[in-house]
Amino acid sequence: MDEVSVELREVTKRFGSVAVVEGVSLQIRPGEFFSLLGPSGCGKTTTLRILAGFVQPDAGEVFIAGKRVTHLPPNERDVNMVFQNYALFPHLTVEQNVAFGLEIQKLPRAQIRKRVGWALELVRLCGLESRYPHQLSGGQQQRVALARALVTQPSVLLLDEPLGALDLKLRQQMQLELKKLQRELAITFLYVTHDQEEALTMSDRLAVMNQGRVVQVGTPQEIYERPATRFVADFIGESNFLEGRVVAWDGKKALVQIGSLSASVISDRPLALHQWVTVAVRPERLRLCPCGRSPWTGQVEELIYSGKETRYRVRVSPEVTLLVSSPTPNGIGVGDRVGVEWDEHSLRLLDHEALL
Amino acid sequence: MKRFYEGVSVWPGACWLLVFFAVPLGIIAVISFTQRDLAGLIRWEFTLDNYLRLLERSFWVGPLGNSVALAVLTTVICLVLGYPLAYVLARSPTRRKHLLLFLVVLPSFTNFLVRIYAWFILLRPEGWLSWGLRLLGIEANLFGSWVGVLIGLVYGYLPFMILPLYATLERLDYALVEAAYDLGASRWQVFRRVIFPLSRPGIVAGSIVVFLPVLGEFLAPKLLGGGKVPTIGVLIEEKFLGRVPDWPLGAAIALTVMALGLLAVSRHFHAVRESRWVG
Repeated sequence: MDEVSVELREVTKRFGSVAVVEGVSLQIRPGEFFSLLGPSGCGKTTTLRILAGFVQPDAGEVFIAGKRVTHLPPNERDVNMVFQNYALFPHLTVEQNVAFGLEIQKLPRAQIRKRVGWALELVRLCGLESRYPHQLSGGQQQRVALARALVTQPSVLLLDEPLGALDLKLRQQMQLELKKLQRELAITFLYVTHDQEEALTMSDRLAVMNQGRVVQVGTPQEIYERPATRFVADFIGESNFLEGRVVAWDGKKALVQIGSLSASVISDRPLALHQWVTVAVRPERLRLCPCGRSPWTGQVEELIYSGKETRYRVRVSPEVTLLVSSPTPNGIGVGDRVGVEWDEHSLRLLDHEALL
Repeated sequence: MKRFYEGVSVWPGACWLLVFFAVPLGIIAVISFTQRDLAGLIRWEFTLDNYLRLLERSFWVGPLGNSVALAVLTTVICLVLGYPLAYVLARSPTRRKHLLLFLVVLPSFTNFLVRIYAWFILLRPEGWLSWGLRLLGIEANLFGSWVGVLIGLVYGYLPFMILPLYATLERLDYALVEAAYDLGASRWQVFRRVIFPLSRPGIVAGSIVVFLPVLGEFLAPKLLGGGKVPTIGVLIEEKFLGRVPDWPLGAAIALTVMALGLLAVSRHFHAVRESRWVG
């Protein structure tokens, strides 16, 4: 059991008749940076609050460090939380805020001082000990919240969109710092975010949630490269979705008829002939090419230049347009006829019914 | 333009206060420096006599002591009774919150005099309360006693304690309470270290709003005290409306008590202002 730091087993929570969290099972390893990713209202924050003990699940079990804590109150759980808006005590100084948990544990004064110093150094806030929260910038408040949660050395740290209120540059800097901190301290981080880029760059593994359920669990690469459902493919990054029917399948590859065009897709899942499927492909895995090179040709309908990439919308058939992203502008303009090509393994077959 | 409207919007309230507060207060101040005529009213001659007579303390120190004691006790009891109520109120779901708030102010729809008179009927030796206590084997004549007056005062002023407490507790970010629990604090520790210190502005405001009026209160002591609980309010009232009136002396006592009261709480107004972090 020491392989698992946090475990949820079939956890369900209803508010009224609405199931906010439904049958969620997760296993998080010690020292892992694990993210819960999903759109707002997907149940990720409720899941976190169930772990913290603020919300009692209607069904299922919660384990922390091998101990069943399903019905323990928050103050008896070995987890600390970094709140979305930091929830710093406004009547206490930075030092008193950080010392709060240690004073509750009734540690000797000298030890509290030492530990608080250690935590403030960790988040690089030395010298601000006697400031009050309202005298700090958003980024500094964030660090105090972090220090306060880390100072008691919990086995798991829960973070509820901790960087949501910061501006982009600061957020990116804090992402790196958080990641570094987590690696150094080897504490399990459970990180809730709706920002897919954040989840991908920071996590060891992540769970994508939608409508109260866990849709897919995996490493960032697994989630991005092999999304299990249309929802994941759409929510994480961007995807072109092409509806078509299987016209041939040899056990490794399938040929999918999409309108008047066809594409070959690698898939070892059993497929029936004429079965409807969805083919997903990332815009950046598509390339523009001269017309003759690919049967997939059409007119550029739209062009969006955004600096680091240029995006083209190409109508390849009356029903189908493809979004193609290219890192460099290449002189192609709206109205030009182009071909679209890709590597075979870039296409991903999704179950037609797996719309979640 | 905004400044202009802000300026204009201040005037109606300011005029009101000027006409109905500042002017009467000024009149009282003027009266306190005049002489008593034979009927106990005013003879327009300047004198410091009324204030000098306050140096001879025998007639007002006792009532003032009673007033202070009643005010302190009423404030403390209102705080102890009102705090849990205000907390429950603040944490109730919106619908129930509105109902409870309505219930808190409901008694105020009836005139205070009428309500105190109702207590007078309840507390009389032949009243229901004494009768009920007698059934329990307790022989207590609450009418004309300190306890009786205190009951009336707490009853009358409890809403004034609850409302400011409710206002601060309602604004209190519940995430702070959760954060304290999360860091291992017990219920009591959460209260003592987070909720209580953060509600201090409400405690101070509520205490001032209860303490100051009770200090000058004469209705409850007069009606429920039955002449046995002389307070400064009763004394002042007698100086104006009693059988042997003395308006100038009454005015001097009133102003002195007001000054003492302000002096006593001015320190705490400071505390309310200091708490800007709560907002």
